[in-house]
Amino acid sequence: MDIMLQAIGLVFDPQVLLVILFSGAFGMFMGAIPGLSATMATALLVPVTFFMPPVPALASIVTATAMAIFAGDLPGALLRIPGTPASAAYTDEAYAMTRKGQAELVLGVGLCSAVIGGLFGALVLTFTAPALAEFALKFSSFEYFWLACLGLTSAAFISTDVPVKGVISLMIGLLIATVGIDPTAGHPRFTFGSVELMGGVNFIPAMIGMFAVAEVLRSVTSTAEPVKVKFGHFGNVFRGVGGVLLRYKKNLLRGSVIGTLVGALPGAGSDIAAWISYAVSKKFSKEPEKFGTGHVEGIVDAGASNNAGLGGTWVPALVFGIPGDSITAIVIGVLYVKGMNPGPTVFLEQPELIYSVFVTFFLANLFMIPLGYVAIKSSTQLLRVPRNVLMPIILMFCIVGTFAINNTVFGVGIMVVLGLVAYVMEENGFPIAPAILGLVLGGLLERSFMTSMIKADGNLLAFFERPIAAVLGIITVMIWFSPLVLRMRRKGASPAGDV
Amino acid sequence: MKFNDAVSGVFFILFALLLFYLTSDYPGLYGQAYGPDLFPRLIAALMGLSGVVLVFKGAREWSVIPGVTMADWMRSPRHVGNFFAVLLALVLYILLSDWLGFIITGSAVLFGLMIRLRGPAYWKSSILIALLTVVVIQFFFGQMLRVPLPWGLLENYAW
Repeated sequence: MDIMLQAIGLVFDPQVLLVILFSGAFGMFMGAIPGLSATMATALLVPVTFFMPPVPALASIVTATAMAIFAGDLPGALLRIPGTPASAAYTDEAYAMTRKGQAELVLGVGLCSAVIGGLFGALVLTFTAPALAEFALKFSSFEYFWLACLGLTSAAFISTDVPVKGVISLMIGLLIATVGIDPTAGHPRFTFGSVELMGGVNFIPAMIGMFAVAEVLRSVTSTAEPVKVKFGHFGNVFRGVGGVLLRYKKNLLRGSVIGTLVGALPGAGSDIAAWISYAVSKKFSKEPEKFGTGHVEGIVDAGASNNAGLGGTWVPALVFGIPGDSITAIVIGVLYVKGMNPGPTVFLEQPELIYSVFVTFFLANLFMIPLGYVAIKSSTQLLRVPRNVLMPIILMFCIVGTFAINNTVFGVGIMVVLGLVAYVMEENGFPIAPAILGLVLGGLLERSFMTSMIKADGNLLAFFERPIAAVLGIITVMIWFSPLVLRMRRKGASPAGDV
Repeated sequence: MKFNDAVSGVFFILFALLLFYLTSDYPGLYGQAYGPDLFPRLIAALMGLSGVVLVFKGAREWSVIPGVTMADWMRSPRHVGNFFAVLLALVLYILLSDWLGFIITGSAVLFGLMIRLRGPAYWKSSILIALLTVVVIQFFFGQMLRVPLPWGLLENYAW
């Protein structure tokens, strides 16, 4: 309790509150513009947080992402274009409601369920993370190796319908992480004589390139005609919302629970949480035939779910240092930069900083009510911001943000190269998130692997000798072989071979 | 530019072989059978294996998906121009910012890109937005966060 009060004191500092307010507005803006996602908002925020103490740095990321996930509903409901992938699950439904003249209701319900889901996720995070951390204190390099493997494996497998492409993306990330002086023998790897590469590829330029520059390239080559916004004035956003939420209070709870759980799974984040919640809502609804025609029920579920998922993703990130999605992968990078090595020990060494993250989660979700209200009211103007002006400005922020990390244009070069790589990868169906996870976790994975190998004197069986390591190891290996087993079973079912 | 998965597969197999070659002269750890080359080689092996899987997948779809498909935008000179304009802007910034300074390079890059994307008709507002953005960034990053953005030719007027 003492620590909680200390954390509240840290967050309720005028400067931190100001940072939260600005990040919230920034997140709303980024989420509301189609093509600019919560991940990109985080990527662009990181260079700024680089100059902040840990508490405001983490607070700004928490706030911006929470707002961006909600704000993604705005263009979804008004233009039928999801502002962020997390809103994609119910964009058609929300748009159908807008066409029925219920734009205020759908956005009001979206906002309130986002707030409730977000608060639920924050609550779960606050109570489970410290307890899990105590358990995780028993972990050795073997457990960490398997945990990192498990996180990376699920990231690679969940992020795409072609798991092998996820694996390749992951390998690209891990490979980039090996550039520089190696951790065991101190030998330079893949540096090609460049002194700047000796220090390794900094994850900030890499991430800005892969998430932001690639998106700018996609935007300037998009052949789709820009959609015209023709909405006028919004009436009372909160009218009728109370009734809907009361009627679907079970959905609210179910969406929040599913969202938090899915978020906590390594590799799955808010977008997958929303898809699952929407599907569950339809399956258990008393009136499933209304889904898709502008029915609010699924939006309650999924709207709560994607914001609850955000809190969920922070659980494995803070406790084990294993990110749940690409946003927390970036967060882990930030934690390392701030000298807070994510993992159970941080709960012992700097508990007030971790608890201040929890406090920010509550605060950010409460801030969402006024900020979201303003965003809905001004959404017509927000959606009119011309892309052709926005993209060059974003590009300039990418350049300066990257430059700010090491004060050399070398980082800008890395950003350009990886931006191009990410662009080509996405064009060909290779997901980006596993590469970022690989880049962030590569160091930990190699260190724990090499330490374990040296401890075990090269005996691979030692990886399964400790009980927790054995369980984690077996689960991981089972996931590795699951595509193969599934294929063989499918072949067995249809003797004619591939169908 | 969309490639058939078999093409991507072959690329990753070759890339994996290159990685094996590049790591071949890494020294071993004293008294251990493995050293700094172990991890990159594991990565390369997995990448190569995945490449093989992709080759099989792509070969099955070869009749439907050709080796290389041009993206829609590649047939539109305007969009091809946009793509290279962004890259050119980035490269020019890397090459010139030290000499010309952030304010000059930044506003030139922004102005050029906006003219390219919005058309020359909007040149007045483009100049205004470019200058405003650069000044705001210089103030926010340069003054508040103390990032040493280069002044270049404007060194004598630095603030």
